[in-house]
Amino acid sequence: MGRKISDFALTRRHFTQGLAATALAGTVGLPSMARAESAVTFLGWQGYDDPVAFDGFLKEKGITLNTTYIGNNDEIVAKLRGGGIGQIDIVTPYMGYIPLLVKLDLIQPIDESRVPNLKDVMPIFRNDPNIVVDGKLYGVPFTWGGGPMVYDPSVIATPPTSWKDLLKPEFTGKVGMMDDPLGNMMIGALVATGTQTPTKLTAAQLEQTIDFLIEVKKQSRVVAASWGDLSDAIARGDVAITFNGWETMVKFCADKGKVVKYTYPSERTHAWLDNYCIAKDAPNLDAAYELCNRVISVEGQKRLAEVALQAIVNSEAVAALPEDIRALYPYGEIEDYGKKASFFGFPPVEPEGDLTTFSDWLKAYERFKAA
Amino acid sequence: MTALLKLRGISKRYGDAVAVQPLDLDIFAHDFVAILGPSGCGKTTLLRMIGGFVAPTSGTVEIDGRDVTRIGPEQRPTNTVFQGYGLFPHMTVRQNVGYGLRLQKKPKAEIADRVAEALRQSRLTEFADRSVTALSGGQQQRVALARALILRPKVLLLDEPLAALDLKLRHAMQDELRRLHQEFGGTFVFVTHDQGEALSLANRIAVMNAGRIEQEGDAETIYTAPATRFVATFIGEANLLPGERKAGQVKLEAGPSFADAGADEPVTTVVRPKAVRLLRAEEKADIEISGSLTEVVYLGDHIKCVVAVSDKQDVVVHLDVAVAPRPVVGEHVRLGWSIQQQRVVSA
Amino acid sequence: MESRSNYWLVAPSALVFVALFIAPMAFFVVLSFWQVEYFELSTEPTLANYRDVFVNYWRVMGFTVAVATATALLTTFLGFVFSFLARFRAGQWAQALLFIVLITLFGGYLMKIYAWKTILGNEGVLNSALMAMGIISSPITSLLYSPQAVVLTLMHFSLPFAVLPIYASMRGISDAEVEAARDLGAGRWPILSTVIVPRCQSGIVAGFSFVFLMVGGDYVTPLLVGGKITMIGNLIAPQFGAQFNWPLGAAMSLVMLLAAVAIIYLFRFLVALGSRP
Ligand SMILES: Nc1ncnc2c1ncn2[C@@H]1O[C@H](COP(=O)(O)OP(=O)(O)OP(=O)(O)O)[C@@H](O)[C@H]1O
Ligand SMILES: [Mg+2]
Repeated sequence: MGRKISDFALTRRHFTQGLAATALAGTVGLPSMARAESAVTFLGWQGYDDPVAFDGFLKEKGITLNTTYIGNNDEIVAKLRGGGIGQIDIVTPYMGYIPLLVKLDLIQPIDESRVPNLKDVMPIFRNDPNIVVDGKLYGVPFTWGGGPMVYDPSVIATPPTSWKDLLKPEFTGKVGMMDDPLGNMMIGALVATGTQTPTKLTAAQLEQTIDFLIEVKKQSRVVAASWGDLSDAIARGDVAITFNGWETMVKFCADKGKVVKYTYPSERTHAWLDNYCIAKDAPNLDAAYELCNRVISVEGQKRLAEVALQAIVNSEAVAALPEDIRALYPYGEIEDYGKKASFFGFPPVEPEGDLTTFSDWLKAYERFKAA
Repeated sequence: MTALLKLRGISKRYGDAVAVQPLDLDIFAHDFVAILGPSGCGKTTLLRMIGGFVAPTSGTVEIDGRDVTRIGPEQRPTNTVFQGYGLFPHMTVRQNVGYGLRLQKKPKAEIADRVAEALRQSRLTEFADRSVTALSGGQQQRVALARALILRPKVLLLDEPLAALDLKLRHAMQDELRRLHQEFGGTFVFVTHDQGEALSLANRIAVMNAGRIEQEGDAETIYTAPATRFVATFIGEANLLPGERKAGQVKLEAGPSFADAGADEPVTTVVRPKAVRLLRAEEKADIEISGSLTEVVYLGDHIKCVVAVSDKQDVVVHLDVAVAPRPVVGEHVRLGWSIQQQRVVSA
Repeated sequence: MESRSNYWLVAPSALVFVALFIAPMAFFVVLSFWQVEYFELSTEPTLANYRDVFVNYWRVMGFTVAVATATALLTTFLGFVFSFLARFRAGQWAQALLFIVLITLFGGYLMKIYAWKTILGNEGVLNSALMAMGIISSPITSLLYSPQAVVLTLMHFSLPFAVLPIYASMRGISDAEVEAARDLGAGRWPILSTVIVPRCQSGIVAGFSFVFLMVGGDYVTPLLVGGKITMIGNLIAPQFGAQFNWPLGAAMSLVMLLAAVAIIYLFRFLVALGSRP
């Protein structure tokens, strides 16, 4: 689903292989359920199991991991509903999905006393309104990111202050977009409709949003398939500025020998937060809590930041990062982050007044794709 | 009378290998010519140079007064029946036969008439709309002939036309070819390594060996007056008697000598088994020689005797089956033949 | 008795055929008449998906068919020329030529795509060379991220699939056939049009079909070298993923498949028409 989620969560680890997302689209079923004691069944993005699995931690705790990778967040819903309850322990949804999972009664609240490392998680993540439903915490946030405007300072000395500036003639043919439906539409809605809640759009607002995206597309040379491909296009000089982006592109481009910067335009952008959630009736509850605690431990977080270049949530771990890795994300001004990039969440999944649903969004997005 | 087809100094080499040595050949209108020789002697290469499929290394090809050396087969007044026939499997018999006329953009009605006539002449009418892949070997052969003849070529070239057929069919097709040659009245040149086929079909034969034409002439001359040792052995059976010519006198190793004009050199005297007689007592012959009979075989239309005239030399004699008394093995016999019936060639 | 035992002999292959081809296809057809609403599959038969295809997707589908047709025609032509050279002109080098075509099958799909990106980009090999030679002063930006780039990349990828069937059918043509045609008065073009093309019909149609189907269903090349280009595969794939609308995806696939079959039959008809004796 959406943003970082479908295309990028995968590709952030496989950014040189832009295809991973599509190649995985038809994922296989759950692994065999024949299990030993504490054989945890994990359903999530490829690489999201690495911070708990990379060293001797699992062995020490007597846990084995049955891992099934997903290609999009819908698979979490589909697999839990299709017989996964009572089988699956851990799922890794985008924060915008958590209210839906709760509503469908597919995940259980987190007993915070069993996740002591939560105390080190920065409040902006720990208190994200999406992951708290009816006052109860339903997810352990562990990684995040935003959608800044990335640009090539050798071509663009002073970056624009508004997303709208991309429509100016001087940028014609220099813009690169990312094929990220949710992220694009949320930014588009902020700019085109002036709304402050870009997840709640009427049909007319949705049309305005798509119209705006199509205008941006006319200015672009490429709608990239992955963050790696978008970085590639900047690094090769095919585009000079992006609509929607990811902070980590700085590193991707640096690896290709290109210095790029990013900025957050005045209309703000969207941000995302991925979580470990415990499925309802998880058969290995104790082990599941061990993993939830481990993924936000200093070791697990450092691993995530240093190897996968993900943004992390544990302030102790941030302090322990090497300088160049820490510089990838605006950790220093994290409390202000919300003024630049917001964790908007998710459009309605089922009809809600005159608001458009996520299916409507995807349908509308095809008009942008086909334009 | 000038020749219809003139080859002058024509040759072909492939790298260092010479397939055809520089040679001349004249072929006259209405001739049925056989190019005869053992495998690999260059027959096909020669024929393909006439047809335009192989560019000669040297020399010229002239047809009906026109030098065609540099033009391709599509423009030469020749047509070819290929060894594998080269029929078009995606066409019916009728379409195959009409192919050349269609390329010439003749009116539809004319094509239809001429194709129907050609099919009738080749007795293919009942197969007209069949695919050529559904025909027997002999029928395919007739299609290939009809397809080439319908264009009324000045020279029809055939490469081993009968080689793929079984014996019985081969005889039938020989008759067919003879008939077509007569009806059509054209000039046919065919390649064969079968001397019987050459003798029975052709009025003129060019005998090839190792890229050269050793002798060219009518069938009877070739048989009775072979110009070289090779021609003598390749066509029919022959006794070869080595000897030496000195001062107009030939002395055979086996004994006899006789007068024969020519340079001083080693020679071979060729005499056909049929020309050799068993001499009765007192009977005389130009050349006489004696030896002992080592073999007598009854072969239906003649009796074959082998006579050892020296340690190294046998002479084969063909006797009429009516001969009486029958000679017996071990008997001492005298052999003889007339000087007209022998041929002296360079050794 | 005997005929019955013969039926038993074909039973395994018939089963495989049904299991591998018929059953999934039938499932797709049935699926395309269903609908998904809010993660629930409704099996109430409806034509809504098809209406959707014709109302909302016909432009992308048309564009896809156009790109696939252009690519397939060009690739088939190239494949024909290549096969012709290998069969009739290359002599002892024929094997080497074919080997070159075959090794382009290795190296995979992505390598080719990235190779073309390197060649066609603003700072790519081609633009750099042209600028170094002083032929252009600023990069030609339309090389990469354009329909041409998509067609070029797909041609490169699919060329072996056109060459192999065409070359195979050309090998069936004996030298004697070609010589006979010349002998009967056919020049270069008549030989091609009356002998070689008609004799390669099945190979040509097979090559065209392979390429067309591969291109028509491709959604990776447009993503990576097409820039903003969307082909129908790019809209079908998410129906089976993010959009979770398998019935619509099935309907789109089936309509595209029918379009492909129609184009292939049309092509076959035209080739046959051009090959009439
Ligand atoms: N294309 C070629 N390249 C090299 N050598 C060739 C070629 N064609 C023929 N030759 C050689 O030239 C010689 C004559 O060949 P040609 O085919 O004319 O013989 P042929 O008398 O027709 O023999 P056969 O009765 O076996 O058909 C042979 O030694 C053959 O190997
Ligand atoms: Mg031969």
